[in-house]
Amino acid sequence: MKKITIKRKYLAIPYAVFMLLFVLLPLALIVFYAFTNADGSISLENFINFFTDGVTFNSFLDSIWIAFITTIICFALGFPVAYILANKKYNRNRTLFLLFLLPMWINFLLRTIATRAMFEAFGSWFNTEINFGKGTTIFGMVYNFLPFMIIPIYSTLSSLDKSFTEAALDLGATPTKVITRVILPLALPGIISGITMVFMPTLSTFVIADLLGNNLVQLLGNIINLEFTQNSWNYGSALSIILLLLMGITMFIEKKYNNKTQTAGGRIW
Amino acid sequence: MKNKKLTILILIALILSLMLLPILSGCNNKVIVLKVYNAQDYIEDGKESSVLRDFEEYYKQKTGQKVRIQYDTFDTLERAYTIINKREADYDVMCPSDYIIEKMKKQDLLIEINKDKIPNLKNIPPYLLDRNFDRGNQYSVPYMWGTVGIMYNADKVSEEDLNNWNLLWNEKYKNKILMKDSIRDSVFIATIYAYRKELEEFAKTATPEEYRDKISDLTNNITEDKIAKVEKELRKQYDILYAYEVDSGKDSMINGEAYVNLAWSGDAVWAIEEALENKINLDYYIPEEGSNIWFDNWVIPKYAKNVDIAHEFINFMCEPDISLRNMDETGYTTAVISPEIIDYMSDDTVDANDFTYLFEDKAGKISEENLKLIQQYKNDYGIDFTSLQIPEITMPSTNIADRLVEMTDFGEKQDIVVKMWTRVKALPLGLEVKIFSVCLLIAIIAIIAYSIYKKVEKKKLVAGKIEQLDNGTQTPTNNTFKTYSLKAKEYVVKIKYKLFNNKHNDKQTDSENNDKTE
Repeated sequence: MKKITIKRKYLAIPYAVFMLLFVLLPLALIVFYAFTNADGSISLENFINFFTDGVTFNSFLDSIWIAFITTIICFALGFPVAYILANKKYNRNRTLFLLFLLPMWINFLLRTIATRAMFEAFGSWFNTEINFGKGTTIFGMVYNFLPFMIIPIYSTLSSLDKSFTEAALDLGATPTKVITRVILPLALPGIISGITMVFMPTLSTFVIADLLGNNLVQLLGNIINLEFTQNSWNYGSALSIILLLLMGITMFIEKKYNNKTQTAGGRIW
Repeated sequence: MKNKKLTILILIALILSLMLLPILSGCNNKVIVLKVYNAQDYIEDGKESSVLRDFEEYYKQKTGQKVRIQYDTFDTLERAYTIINKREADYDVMCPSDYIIEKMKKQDLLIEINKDKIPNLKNIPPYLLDRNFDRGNQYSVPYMWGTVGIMYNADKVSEEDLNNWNLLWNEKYKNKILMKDSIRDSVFIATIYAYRKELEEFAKTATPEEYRDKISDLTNNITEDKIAKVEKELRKQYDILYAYEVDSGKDSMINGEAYVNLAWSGDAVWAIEEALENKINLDYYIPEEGSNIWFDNWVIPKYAKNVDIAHEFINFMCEPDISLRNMDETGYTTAVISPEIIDYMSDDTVDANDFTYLFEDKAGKISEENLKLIQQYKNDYGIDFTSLQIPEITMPSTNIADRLVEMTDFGEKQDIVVKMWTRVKALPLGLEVKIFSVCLLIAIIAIIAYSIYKKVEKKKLVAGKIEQLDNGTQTPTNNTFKTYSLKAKEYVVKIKYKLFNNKHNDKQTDSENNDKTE
């Protein structure tokens, strides 16, 4: 009789099965739906519709624009915060860092609803009317995804060798030059993973636009949601595929870039 | 050692037998599970009293058979429909809306109702039966019904703006108007609004029935022209809206954030009650142009396993006292009529109205039987259907009731309507977005062009080198390069050798030191 031995690689089987059933199979289904029309015959109709119906493509551009703005605001807010947090002087025992992480422990839906309530409260306190729309949607997105920008940058900056900055200062660089010529390039892997971490989810989210935009803002995610709830799965799947492709490209760029720049800083994502 | 094993074995045996106990006992008296599928918060099912528990009790007393109700709820009807259509669950009883019933009927997803098994059908007045979506009530039995109207803040909205649909498009209330984020309802209402002038003209000459047919035709026969017209109106409305909502609108009205809301009658009942706590006076009316009447009926899906018990359940739900409890809990108007229910609906503060339309059949006639019934109500309970004080929110008055139309399924036109809806909600592209997308496009093209250019250059360079080698014309620079590289290699080898030696020596000295210490 052959003895059955448990090899270490067998431990991966449950996960492989899980992946197959819940990641690859649904993906295959989406691809199938995307390339068929309502009658079930194969066609490219859905993708042609995307460019020609005049709405979806505009919403797509709008989504990219909002994601872009959100990412820029997140970076502008997140980089200084990460820089300060990485300084041991301010962030002893990582308590301050933990405080910035704290909001992430609360469910994001709850946070968004709370943001809404907060806006309403401001409106009544200051007796002004708050128009829920694009502006509030961007605010909600920045609020929700800011930690995703801070964490990777923080982790690269905190593992950065301090002697680099010291050397630059010794050699006569001004503080601004130290940041632009030394710290920024060294933190680039962190920045890029931060950007992808913010850009990708903002591109596909629809709950924030629904809650904080009063359903008046229509992003690509909202259209996909609508198509699926109205039982036109084919078009919804096609849009999902387009979104997936875009994310794939972003991931690809990020990976390519990060392979090129290997620095002292580590990455956690 | 052995004792320990024994005790463990005994323990395991004990646990196993305990686990088997309920299964064994179940064999004697099998419990049938009745699966009921309904919208959320749409039945009285509290801790102290629950119509579901009462049914279990009732059924046990009647037949001696134990029944357990598995009560599941759905968020959207579309999802519920998909679940039944794809046979993801085998519900015995379900409570969908009119247009879904129509759709399910078309897809052959329903079991015909055996009316002999539902004697309580007599409690339901003719006005609510024999409707377009299910002629002769072959497949469904009414549970709740209601209207679509406008809920408004009575303190903020002036009286002259009421009475028609124009209020939802009134610029006076900019940023205070709520519209339903539900394609069906919004498109229905916008159609009536878009054709309001024609309807007004038509009403002057037409009989009530003709008028009703006209609305039905307008709202249910969708054409490209109509869609274009409706889109225009919805687009106009978009600019003055506070929000599109499905559920949150009630809260916005209660908090006083918004003043005007397209609302379902049952929701409005709830909101009006809640708003009183905030000292906000909400009210509800059905615009005179006509509106939508909707029904939620009990049906038995095709894959039901306990059809008989399902009939029994539906019959139980049509009991007057059970209906009253459900109505009291949910705020929606029950389809059942009884003296107690009429009493419950009556409100002394509203004007009396004629409600005999409830007993009219499609032709507008009241049958002999029902005439007797009306007389009986009058004599026995003092309820006179020609003048009842029932608020409009619970039951529409006669002149409105003639103008209520049910929606039919969009069918093949669904895609066009959904597309139109996305067009309505699409923000016009701002200048910044346009500039941004052009920049993005240029950047992408530039990157691709650059990488192609680089690749071509590289290929050229390599091709040139290969050509040079093939021709055997090696330039002197290449020669010197070769010699240099050879020299460099020599150095590398030498350095490596040296390093190796050094290491070796270090190890030796280390071991020597160790020897010494020992």
